Amino acid sequence: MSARVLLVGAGGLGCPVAEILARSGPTLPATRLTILDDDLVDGTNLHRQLLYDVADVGAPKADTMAAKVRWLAATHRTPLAVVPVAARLVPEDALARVRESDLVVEGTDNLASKFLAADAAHLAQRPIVHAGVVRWTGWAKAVHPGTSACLRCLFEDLPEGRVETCAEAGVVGPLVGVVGALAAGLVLRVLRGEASVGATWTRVDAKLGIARTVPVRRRSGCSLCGPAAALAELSAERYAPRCLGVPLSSGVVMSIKVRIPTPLRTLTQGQDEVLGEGATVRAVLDDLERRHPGLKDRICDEKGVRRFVNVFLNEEEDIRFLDGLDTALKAGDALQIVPAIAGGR
Amino acid sequence: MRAARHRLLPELGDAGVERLASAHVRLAPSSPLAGEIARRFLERAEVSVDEHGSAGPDEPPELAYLRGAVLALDHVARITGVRAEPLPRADLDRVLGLAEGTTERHGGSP
Repeated sequence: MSARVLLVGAGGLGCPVAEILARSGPTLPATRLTILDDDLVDGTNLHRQLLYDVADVGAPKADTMAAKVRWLAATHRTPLAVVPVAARLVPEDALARVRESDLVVEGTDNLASKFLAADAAHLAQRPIVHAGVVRWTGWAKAVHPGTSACLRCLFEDLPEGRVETCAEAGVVGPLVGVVGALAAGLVLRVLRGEASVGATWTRVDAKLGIARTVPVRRRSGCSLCGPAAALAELSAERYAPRCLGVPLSSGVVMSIKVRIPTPLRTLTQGQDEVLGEGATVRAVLDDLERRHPGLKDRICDEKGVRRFVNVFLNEEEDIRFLDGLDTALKAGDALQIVPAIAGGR
Repeated sequence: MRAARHRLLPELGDAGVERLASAHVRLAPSSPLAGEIARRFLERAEVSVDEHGSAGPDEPPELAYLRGAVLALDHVARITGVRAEPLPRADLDRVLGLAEGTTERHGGSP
């Protein structure tokens, strides 16, 4: 019977994990890898996500990663089956997804998803490998439920206020590879049945030149794994307001394609199409501003969309005739930024 | 790879990006896969990389990937002036379940 590994996040951390598993060769125990990610490949990902190339921009990450990992596995005769799932881990189905796996690997880019995965893994009594990285720092830890310190032993809960993701704050590409490789090493050790693997926590500060692996103990007051643990179910509210600003729920956070006109491409590094996340036009533009500073200011002023700019939804409707910046978006929608054009010679 | 250009840390600024783009490194990796990983990361940071002809024997993929990424990271840190000393290896290798004393084979020069 194959070991069932659920990889939550096909980004900078997921890429090394998947590639290393695929390169492991015939000695890897038969494994079924489920890749869970609803994002599309963006040009901004490429410096740290080595499984994707320029030609993949705009393609679903889960499918793209699956195709490349299958090829690598075949090349290295690795007994690895791959199942892509274009979805997010959300409170409504997290427990069911985790229960269908023997090991969870969490490499998401936001704390809400990290805590959700940690909670689901503990409630389902499944081991989990976490990793995180931003700017010059990163960390990795394996957790065996009931025997090693969990994420809530280390960090009690989501912080108040919004926390920057690596996409917003920036991250050094090779550091993502370092931390992803460490996570992959932990995954392989869990698959080999090493019980001691959860006893330590590894931190890397590449700016200060620190790479330390230290023992960590379970916290007696932990709300997830402590003796008086109060956390017994996954409610969407627990993961929503403090970190993301919007509920971490099905269909709420979506990647929307935005067509960029030539005069604004200096702000998008020449890309004519970029991705923004959000359930409204305003949220997508806010997200684009984080990824491409200065872009929103060229499109909006304090009153809304600038008078000499049009924003079209699906090349059909000017959002001024919908709900303006509050126009709701659904999966598959696309926005086009169309500035007024002067001249004619 | 121009698509990589913007995604470095904002704190590096244009000057840091330009230093990377004008840098050239010669890799002396611990294994062929470590060299491949280091090259891929560096090229995506727009660093020019020489072929690595002196790599040692194959390593387990998690170790090779780790060593390649650390090698690339050290080059990026040094080129951008963030840090000159290489990242300590022993604790990282230990995460992979390796015994101490297996970390000598890192190399590389700007």
